Amino acid sequence: MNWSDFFAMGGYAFYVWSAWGLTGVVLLWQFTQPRLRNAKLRRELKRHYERQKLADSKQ
Amino acid sequence: MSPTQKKRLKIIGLIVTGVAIAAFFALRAFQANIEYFLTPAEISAGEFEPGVSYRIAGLVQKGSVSTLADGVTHQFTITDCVDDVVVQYTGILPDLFREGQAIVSLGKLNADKLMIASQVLAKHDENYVPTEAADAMMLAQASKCDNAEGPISY
Amino acid sequence: MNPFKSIWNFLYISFHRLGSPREFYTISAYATPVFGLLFLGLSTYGAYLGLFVAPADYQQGDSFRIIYVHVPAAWLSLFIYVVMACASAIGLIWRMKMAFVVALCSAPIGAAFTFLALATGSLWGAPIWGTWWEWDARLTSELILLFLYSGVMALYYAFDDRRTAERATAMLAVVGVVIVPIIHYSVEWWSSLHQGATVFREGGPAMPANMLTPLLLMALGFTFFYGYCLFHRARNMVLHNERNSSWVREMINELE
Repeated sequence: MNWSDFFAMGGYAFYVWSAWGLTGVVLLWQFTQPRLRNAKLRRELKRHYERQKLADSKQ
Repeated sequence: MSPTQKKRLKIIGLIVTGVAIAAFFALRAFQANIEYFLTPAEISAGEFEPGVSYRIAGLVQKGSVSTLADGVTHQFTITDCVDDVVVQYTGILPDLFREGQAIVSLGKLNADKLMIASQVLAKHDENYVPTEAADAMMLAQASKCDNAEGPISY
Repeated sequence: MNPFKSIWNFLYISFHRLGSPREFYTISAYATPVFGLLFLGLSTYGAYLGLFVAPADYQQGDSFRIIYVHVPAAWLSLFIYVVMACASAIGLIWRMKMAFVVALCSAPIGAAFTFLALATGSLWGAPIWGTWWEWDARLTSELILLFLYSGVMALYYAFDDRRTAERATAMLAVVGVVIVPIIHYSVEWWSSLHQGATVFREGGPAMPANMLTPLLLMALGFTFFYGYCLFHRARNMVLHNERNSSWVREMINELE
């Protein structure tokens, strides 16, 4: 397996690896972003419920 | 499905159909502008205005490629196997450029039907062939017009 | 009871179960990792075949390997729009909450694949065609698709009232579906720089099996990736939409 030939992609290395790399980045972001949002949502909801409980108990 | 749901379905169906029909007519109206390129047949028939930018598509004719005296301008003939157009281009030709290759060139035509191209692009077809099968294919490529019965279209 | 009737009943019941946000939340907890694993398995194998095993093309050399990300992305950009349009229609006709959720959560994923199709296509066109961009029918209509996805997302956040937002967005999604056949047939209806279909054509794929297999694997892998992301986003949206219901409150308070 000639690795330098493989990475050279017949002279098209920049184009091929940019295309594949960009795909990897976009997919990774699509994977990550909902997880970040989920964590944020849970925090916010928890605070929201606690505030509600406080408001209810004060009545 | 309840009657209300059927009604909603009908309304949505009508709206989508309406948009589709509108799109159809709009695209038909712009047909001439949307057409990406002219054919050599149309050029030979004089269906162009000199000095206006057009794109033409065809195959590079066997034996027609040369470099002019200035050393940087290429000259070649685009053909659809029936009609020809001579093109001159100053610049680097795409990797795929060779005899029998389909190309699209953008440029202005003069009264003698010579095109001075500002851009030459290679167009490739939808076939993918491993390099092992290449030699037969590559030979066939250059001589595509030998077997053509009429104009080849893109 | 004949088997067809029981299959139909199963699908009908599943459809209705998924239609309830709470049921969806439970079911998706199991489905999501399965989709994720299928994506990883199929795409890793497909990428391996596409990069290492498939032979180079006689004209385009190794640059053609971009096809293994470009075409699956393009296919997904169309497939996701169709799913979004169908889900929107179902939401509008049956007033089904989860249908709107599926439609809205599909939009950003569809937009991502559309962007990828355009960007990887551009990286491919630059060395092979000789240009990074052309206003031909295929490229232009795919760009319009990107605008449609963006429009759907923007429209949703333009409204204060969620129900109005859902309905307006669903309407736009449904109406925009006409772009999908335009994109697919653009290379047949108009002369264009982009070549005709290699796989979906009369006479079968214009590609030998050793080049075609990785393409199909990547496409299938990407489809499961879409499912994975869709379920993740939908779970978030369900949590947000149903935050005032007791099941969400109990679930959030239980966790730490």
